[in-house]
Amino acid sequence: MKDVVVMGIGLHPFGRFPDKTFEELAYPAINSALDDSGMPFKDLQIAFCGVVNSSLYDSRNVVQQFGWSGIMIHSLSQASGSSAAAFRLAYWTIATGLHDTALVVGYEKMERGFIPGTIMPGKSHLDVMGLDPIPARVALEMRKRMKDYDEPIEAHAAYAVQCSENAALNHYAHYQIRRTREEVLNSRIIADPLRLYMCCPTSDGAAAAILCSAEKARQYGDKRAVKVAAWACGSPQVEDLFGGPGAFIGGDFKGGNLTRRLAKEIYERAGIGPEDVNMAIVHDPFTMAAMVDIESLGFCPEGEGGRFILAGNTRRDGKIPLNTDGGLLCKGHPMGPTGVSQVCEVVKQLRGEAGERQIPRRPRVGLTHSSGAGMLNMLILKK
Amino acid sequence: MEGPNYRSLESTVFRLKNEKDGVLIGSLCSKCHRVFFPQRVWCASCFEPTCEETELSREGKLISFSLIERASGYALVKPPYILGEVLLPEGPHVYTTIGMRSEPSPAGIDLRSAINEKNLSSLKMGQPVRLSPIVGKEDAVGREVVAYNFDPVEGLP
Repeated sequence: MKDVVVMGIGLHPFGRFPDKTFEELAYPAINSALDDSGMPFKDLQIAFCGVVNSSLYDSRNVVQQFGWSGIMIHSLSQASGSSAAAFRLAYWTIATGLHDTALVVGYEKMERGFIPGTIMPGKSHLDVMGLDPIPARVALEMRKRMKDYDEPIEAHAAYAVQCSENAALNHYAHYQIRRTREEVLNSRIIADPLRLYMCCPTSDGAAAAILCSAEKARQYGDKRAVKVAAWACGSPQVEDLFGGPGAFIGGDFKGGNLTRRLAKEIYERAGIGPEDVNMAIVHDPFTMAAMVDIESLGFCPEGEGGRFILAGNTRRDGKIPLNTDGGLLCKGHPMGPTGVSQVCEVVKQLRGEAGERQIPRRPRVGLTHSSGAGMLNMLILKK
Repeated sequence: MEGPNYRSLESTVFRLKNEKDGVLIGSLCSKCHRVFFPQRVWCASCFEPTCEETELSREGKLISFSLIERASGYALVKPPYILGEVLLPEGPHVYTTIGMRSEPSPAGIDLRSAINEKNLSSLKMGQPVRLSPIVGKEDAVGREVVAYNFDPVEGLP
């Protein structure tokens, strides 16, 4: 397998842009990534787009804005993890030697409110009887954790406040406002005990990354290149198929089994342990998810996720800085670009280019963890 | 059994025995004996088409619950209502409403929960619950549509 590096990254702000087309959202993300990488568009050999609510032609339109170079352009959908899957496929393409360079871009336009989780709306027990809202499924797991682990609701507030503080310093974030503990705890109940500010929004936005073989990267100047050290991916196994109706809601909310399994794999591939990870950007559409994630990634013992966060260990100056861009929670969650936007943040931090959000002890090893419809894609990046 | 005047909301999931009562349908793997809900043909553990239909228990344990304040677009239930997770003795967890009632209304029938913010404390994790179907709105050809629901065994508050 060849060494692969991330040469350039770019973003379009996450927020609400009802009048923008996919091309307009993706343009600054791809253009910035090209500038950042020093690579001309003509040198890109393949493209992978991550988008869920796609029409027939948008992936071609988005990429061909820059030229009709004849390369293969893919459109991939993996719910919240679409561009994480796209990134991994781009990585595999270069690592296996089929190509030397690749573009990864994610983009999305979303409606407000709940994401439909059913194939035949209005006909199944699942949606007619109101069993489908994803936040409600999360609330079930949250209540279990509060009972089994005595996890305080304050931990959820602490995590939401921490994310808001990071997002307030991120001019690409959807919500750039610092929230207080009181605001979070008093926000509208969605599904008891889950409240509004413990949930991510739906958002529009775009993000891009340019990958290159380490060998070819030298010709563009590779001082700022970040290495893809390891990957892992998979879907849940039968121990997570515990009932229904309705698909496994994803995000590994039940207990982190998939994350645990893939974490073992990725640490082995990278030749490291969780203690060697300096920062992580994890899947956090709900505050509870971050707690499950950090336990399953081995950053703290099982059942201690909430308390670990409450004690400040995941702040930028903490033991394991988490979601320094504001996370899905406050940075926003356009499904298409979220995965690659995690890579963008790790790359900035590892390069020392995160500005006001820079982790004071400059990280060398970053981890990304992106879930989509229950599938999981993870990366370890090193500089 | 479906009748000319009634049907199940989703008969592959909840099979009616008569117009008021029915049973949840799952699958039992003939090889590993694992039980799945809803039904499936291939065993998710054995990776072979070894599953056969099986009727599921009518009583289980309430593992968790949440009071939902806002329903998604296709729901006919009026918030607030309870989403519960029920563990059946043979293994599967069932997502279900808890304490749902059908009430006559100008629109025909309203589906409202007997459990809301005022009496939420009456629900306890781990308490026994029982299958308790409810009748919803009529369908396009005028049949009553019956859906599964669970109620606390000790009765509603």
